[in-house]
Amino acid sequence: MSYQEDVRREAAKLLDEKTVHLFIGYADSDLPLKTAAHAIRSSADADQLVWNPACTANLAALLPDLLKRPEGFRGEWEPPKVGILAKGCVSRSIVGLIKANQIPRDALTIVGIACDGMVSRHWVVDQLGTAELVDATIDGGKVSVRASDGTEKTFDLDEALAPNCRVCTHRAAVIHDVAIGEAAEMDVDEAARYESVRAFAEKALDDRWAAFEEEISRCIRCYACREACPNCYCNECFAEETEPKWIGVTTDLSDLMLFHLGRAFHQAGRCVDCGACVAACPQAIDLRLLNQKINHDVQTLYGGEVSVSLEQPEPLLQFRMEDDEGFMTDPG
Amino acid sequence: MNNPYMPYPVRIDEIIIENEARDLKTFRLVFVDPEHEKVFNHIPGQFAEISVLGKGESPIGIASSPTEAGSLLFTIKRTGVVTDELHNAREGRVIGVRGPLGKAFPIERMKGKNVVIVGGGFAFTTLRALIQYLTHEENRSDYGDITVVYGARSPGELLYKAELAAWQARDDMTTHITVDKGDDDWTGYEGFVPAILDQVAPSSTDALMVLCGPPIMIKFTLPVIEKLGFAPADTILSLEMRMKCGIGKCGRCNIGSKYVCKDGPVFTLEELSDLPDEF
Amino acid sequence: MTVLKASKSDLRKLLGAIAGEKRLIAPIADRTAVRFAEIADSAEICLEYRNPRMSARSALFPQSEVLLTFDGETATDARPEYRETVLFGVRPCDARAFTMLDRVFRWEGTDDPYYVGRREAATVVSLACNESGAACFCTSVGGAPHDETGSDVLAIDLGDDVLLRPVSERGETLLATFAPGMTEASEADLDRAAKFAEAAKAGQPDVAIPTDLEGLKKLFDSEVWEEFAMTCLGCGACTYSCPTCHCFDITDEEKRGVGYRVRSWDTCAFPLFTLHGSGHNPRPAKNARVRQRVLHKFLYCPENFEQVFCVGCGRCVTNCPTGIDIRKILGRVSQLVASG
Repeated sequence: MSYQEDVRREAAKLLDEKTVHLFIGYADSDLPLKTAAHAIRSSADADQLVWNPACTANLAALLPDLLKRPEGFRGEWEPPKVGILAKGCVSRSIVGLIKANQIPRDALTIVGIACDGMVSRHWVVDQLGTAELVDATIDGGKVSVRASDGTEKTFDLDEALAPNCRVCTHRAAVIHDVAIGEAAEMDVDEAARYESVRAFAEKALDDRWAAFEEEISRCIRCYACREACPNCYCNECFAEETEPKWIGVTTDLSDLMLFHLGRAFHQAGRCVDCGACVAACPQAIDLRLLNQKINHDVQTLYGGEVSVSLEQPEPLLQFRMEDDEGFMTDPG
Repeated sequence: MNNPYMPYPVRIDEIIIENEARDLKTFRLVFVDPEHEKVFNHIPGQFAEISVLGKGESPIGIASSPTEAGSLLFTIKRTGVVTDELHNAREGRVIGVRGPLGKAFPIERMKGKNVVIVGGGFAFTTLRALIQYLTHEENRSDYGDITVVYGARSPGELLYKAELAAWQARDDMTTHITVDKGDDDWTGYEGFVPAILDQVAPSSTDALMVLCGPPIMIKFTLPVIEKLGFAPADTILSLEMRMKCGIGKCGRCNIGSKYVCKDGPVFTLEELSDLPDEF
Repeated sequence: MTVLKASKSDLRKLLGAIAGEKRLIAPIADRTAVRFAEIADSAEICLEYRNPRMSARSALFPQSEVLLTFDGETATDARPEYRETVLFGVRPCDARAFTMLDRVFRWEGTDDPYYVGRREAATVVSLACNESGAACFCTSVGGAPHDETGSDVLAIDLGDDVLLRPVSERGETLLATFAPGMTEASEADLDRAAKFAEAAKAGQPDVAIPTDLEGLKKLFDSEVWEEFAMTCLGCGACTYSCPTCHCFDITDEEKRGVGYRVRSWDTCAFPLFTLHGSGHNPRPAKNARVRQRVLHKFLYCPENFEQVFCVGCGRCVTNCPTGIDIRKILGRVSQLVASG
């Protein structure tokens, strides 16, 4: 179900009525299965906005910079009024940012949109071997692609969905000022949700280490994962501190591992499994290997959902008498 | 092949605490290998990367003149990881020096001209090198009138007190020292450098102006310099930027098409106005 | 110099022979992408790809490289004996980028001995492009799919056979040593190669490159940079995949007085890049950093080296997580420059 026209109409309306100065959504790029994050200031540009299963980026990551006082700015300053197209995970990130005092709620007009999941470009490209993805169409539940070596393949949209989208629990926006579309009811049980974590845990320790090493050793420290993540808003990231110097800046395996482990732990109780980090990584590293494990542990130990409401306390930000204390009494 | 990333080992021979706050120290460094001193041959205005193995490097202006043989002087403010370590170091420790780097003050162009040297705060370091060089007995006759205007926040913050006294005692140069606020013993000027420069009003005829100081001082001194008639091409400044390699490769100090480490740190005002407004 | 011809299997034998004596770096098909790797067995070499995801720059300028080691107060130069290396399968864009890296690392009489050491030990056997990639635009920045700049030998894939065109003396020597008695390419072969070159060129869009440097300078204070920066995440994906980017950081690693000084890739896209010890940052906002990236490649490097530092490989376009497209930026900037 394409809500593209609704998105365009809503964005145009908000801009015309001056409810917002700026509307952030997605636009087509020149490359197949890839959209660009896009900001428009005028309703005349509304037809640049698109909505399709390649709208992968988590737009909430752009908000802190857009809504903060420019450095060196003197005098009265008000954040611009920003409209943002928010699929489920994006809206959860917005909740997280508001609760963390990183963005003001009243500067935002959230246009929630029901999302049926995004295609994993990495997965599709993987299916093409060493050929380049040249063309793609998504229609009627199918993804049809053409590769540079002439091969043509068709996949079920379900097959090509990003792994996190397949286990998504919040397809509709959890916070919104306007709502577009009806989301399909998600019936994801715990077993399905953390299947990848379970499957990985079943491997022998050495195999797990080898798999981890293989994924992480590709890292080039570009920090695309960090910058694509709305939760990584720290002014100074632990990875770049010099006093004290927690980790080095090299691509030495120990530096790579500590960066990713550190970032995964810093996400605990905050990650909404939007998949933006995986999609952003130019080396197609499966960062969910770590993040989902942390998510699973938080869920198991402390229950509750992360960033689903402005009122509900976050799992790691509340103390209940029945919270598991095994990590202290029986670290094993 | 010569490796410009390898520092010359130098021993800390003497540490002089320059100010009351004790966060400015002058280090006298002596080359461990005398052959290194022979090739170092710096010109006033140049800088070196001070290397502290395990901590990193810092680009610091060379405060001594090449005429002061036997050692190098660097005045360093305690700021971060490297300078912290230096401030905790003791005499006798061996550290490293990479250099000399950068473009120097135009001492050739200064020949036959009057030179006005204006400095403030702890940006005075390379100016010390310049003054010592110009006034050295072998060089003095190459240059015309030498006028120095130097200011600091308070008498305790003035650098190189011994040299200042020596310069003031000379009759072949004029030295005007000012402080923002004097103390009971202070007999010199009281006032900001731009104001004192305006008062002193050195002639701009056949003269070059050299200016080093904190941004706020530069901002207010430039109009005075213009008023006195110094052309932008005759006004010489020294810039600071974040640096790493010091040899124009790592890109950190890049402004416009210039690299502060390689095309500077000494620039004329004319060259600076060509650069984008980024610093 | 004579152009030679070899069957694909003979090419692998040739590369195998090279791997036996020198260090051979060539593309392999990894589980996730094509990448450059050190080759032991020439059967591993992949010949079917548009362009490896990461550029070949790490062969000459590794992402992390130890400059010196130290123990207490003594530092030791960490340069190894740079082994004779053959880089095979580099596309003409990446090879051309080497000539740009050469300009920086040998600038104003100061040679970077680490880069130069690797460079002088390397022979580049590039693989011409018979078709352009989805984001390619080398023809707009002075390159071409069969360009020889930066190569010692240009290999051209004709399907069953491969042509090997020596470009430099070093390339000729390589072929003479490892492929003596190889057949000469025929006129028909050369003709086919030329046709491939034309077809590949035709597959590229025309990207407007701003060549009026004075006009470009005037755009420094333009608000257009703010526009581009709005959707920029400020990561290093574009700069790290770029074959001509060369900025680096130098850091010390130490444990109980023993350690090393290492240089690692760095990017002007990070705010830390220009942060002073005093806390002042000349480029505090993303618009300044996006501007720096574009102007460095299209204004400052042309001013310093008479050369635009972009080879049109398109990797930044493919790898940008938010879909920023340098071709679009250049189009817009060119428009603004033209309209004064």
